[in-house]
Amino acid sequence: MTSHLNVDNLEIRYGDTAVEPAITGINLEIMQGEFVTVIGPSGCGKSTLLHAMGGMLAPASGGIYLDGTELTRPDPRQAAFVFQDYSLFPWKKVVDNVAMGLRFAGEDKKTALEKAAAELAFVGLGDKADKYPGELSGGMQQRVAVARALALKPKFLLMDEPFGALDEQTRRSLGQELTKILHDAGQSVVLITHSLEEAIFWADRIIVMKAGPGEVSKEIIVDEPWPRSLEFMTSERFENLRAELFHRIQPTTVSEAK
Amino acid sequence: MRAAPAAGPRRSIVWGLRILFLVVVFGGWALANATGSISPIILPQLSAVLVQSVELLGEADVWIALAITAFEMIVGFGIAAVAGLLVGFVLSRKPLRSAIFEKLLAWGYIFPISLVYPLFLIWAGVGLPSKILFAAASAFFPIAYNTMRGLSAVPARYLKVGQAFGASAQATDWHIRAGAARPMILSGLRLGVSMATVSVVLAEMLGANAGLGFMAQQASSQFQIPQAYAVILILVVMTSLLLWFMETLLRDPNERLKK
Ligand SMILES: Nc1ncnc2c1ncn2[C@@H]1O[C@H](COP(=O)(O)OP(=O)(O)OP(=O)(O)O)[C@@H](O)[C@H]1O
Ligand SMILES: [Mg+2]
Repeated sequence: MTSHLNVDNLEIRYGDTAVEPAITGINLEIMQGEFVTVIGPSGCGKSTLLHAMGGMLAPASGGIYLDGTELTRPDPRQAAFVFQDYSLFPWKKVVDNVAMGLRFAGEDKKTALEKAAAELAFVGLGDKADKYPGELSGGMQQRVAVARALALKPKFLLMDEPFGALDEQTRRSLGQELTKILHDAGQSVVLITHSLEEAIFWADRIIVMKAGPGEVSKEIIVDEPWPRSLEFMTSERFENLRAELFHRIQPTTVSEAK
Repeated sequence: MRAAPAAGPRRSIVWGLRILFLVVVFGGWALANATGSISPIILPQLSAVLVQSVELLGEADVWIALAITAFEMIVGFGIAAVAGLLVGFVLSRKPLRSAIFEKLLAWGYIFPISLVYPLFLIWAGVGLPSKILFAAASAFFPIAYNTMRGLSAVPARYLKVGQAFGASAQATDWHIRAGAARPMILSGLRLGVSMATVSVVLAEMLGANAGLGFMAQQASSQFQIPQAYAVILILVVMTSLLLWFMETLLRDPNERLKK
């Protein structure tokens, strides 16, 4: 059976209920094996949506359902996170960082370390197991964070601008490499990005959000077959999608559209 | 060709210069002796001090005094470490508690506890217990303060990762809080070690009936200057070895990565 993650009429409020909700009226369905990107202006509630999808935030109304069961707290075997900021524990070796989620989930140390080593090899860092995060480049650290999430074999991988802090060059090459292995593995992914190119190039589907309050303004299917070649990036179709996204995430255009 | 990224000066050069520094200090000492420019009451003959040291090391009394001093330092530090870690941990549990006691601990940290050493003499007598308690009291504050600060200032992003990966309350304490606080706790413990050693020597000189500090004080009050110097030399070597050992024991395995 293929899994699916449902976001049902979701509203999230921070603190006092009198203030405007951070996001409201969100309805989404994400299927297993899908690669979904989320884009929208800063502050529109992308991170809020992703955190809610991972069971990190209690909804003011509506809910998150995984195969029909409501997700009320984080369960990394269902949905695991890769955060934007370097979130590895600097006091633990790389392999222990990757094993951490498995240990929290109750696996014994030996099994957890074996699985962690395998996951590190999967992201191409098999030889860095015994290093500390501080000895790795920013790009490598984010790869470790991806391995940490994947080690739990999550049904859904939730990534909040995982390459946001990297330089352009690293960001592109690492992004290309990681998305390829995620696609090849059939991993379901929800990825937040600021980059129009990333949002289009990697996506089976793009979720466009708008601010004030945070809502989904449009879903765009990108039915370009996989594997995608770099020519797709220079195609007219790509250019059109890019132009559409560009206009949609401009704050002024959004308010005119209301 | 460009140089390798900043590796710092070579170890051999550093050690060479350190040895040179010692040679200069002791050479200057010997020179001052030879020219007679400094009174032997202030600076005795270097050779006399060395001969005295060797002689002293042949006496059982000195070894007993050394053992007493080391014992006071170690037990005093041990008490401070247990109490400091425990108090720091308990205070870090609730923001209100840490808010109340933070200033108090910080104040105890900078307060010169030696001012109240006479009280320790009154409470615990002139023997070992007063030295041990005094050392423990001095070392307690940096340990408790750093433990509390370290544990209550864990960056939110680490706690968020723990939450996302389903860490239990105990796992959060052990794997995340303790790990994040470790550098600060270890530095508190290292400070505690040096506080304990300084306090013991000071206390032995201020009022005691045993120990190396007491011996040095006795010798100098009887104008046995070479002997006073020799005892101090033995004290310095012993304390240095103790500090070096504890520093190695309490080093953060991550330290070398800090930029
Ligand atoms: N912990 C919080 N407490 C209160 N308000 C918050 C909190 N986190 C986010 N918000 C608010 O919720 C709204 C959405 O924030 P969110 O971080 O989800 O936006 P975002 O789309 O991820 O922005 P960015 O692209 O800058 O990361 C913003 O108005 C923000 O100020
Ligand atoms: Mg965000």
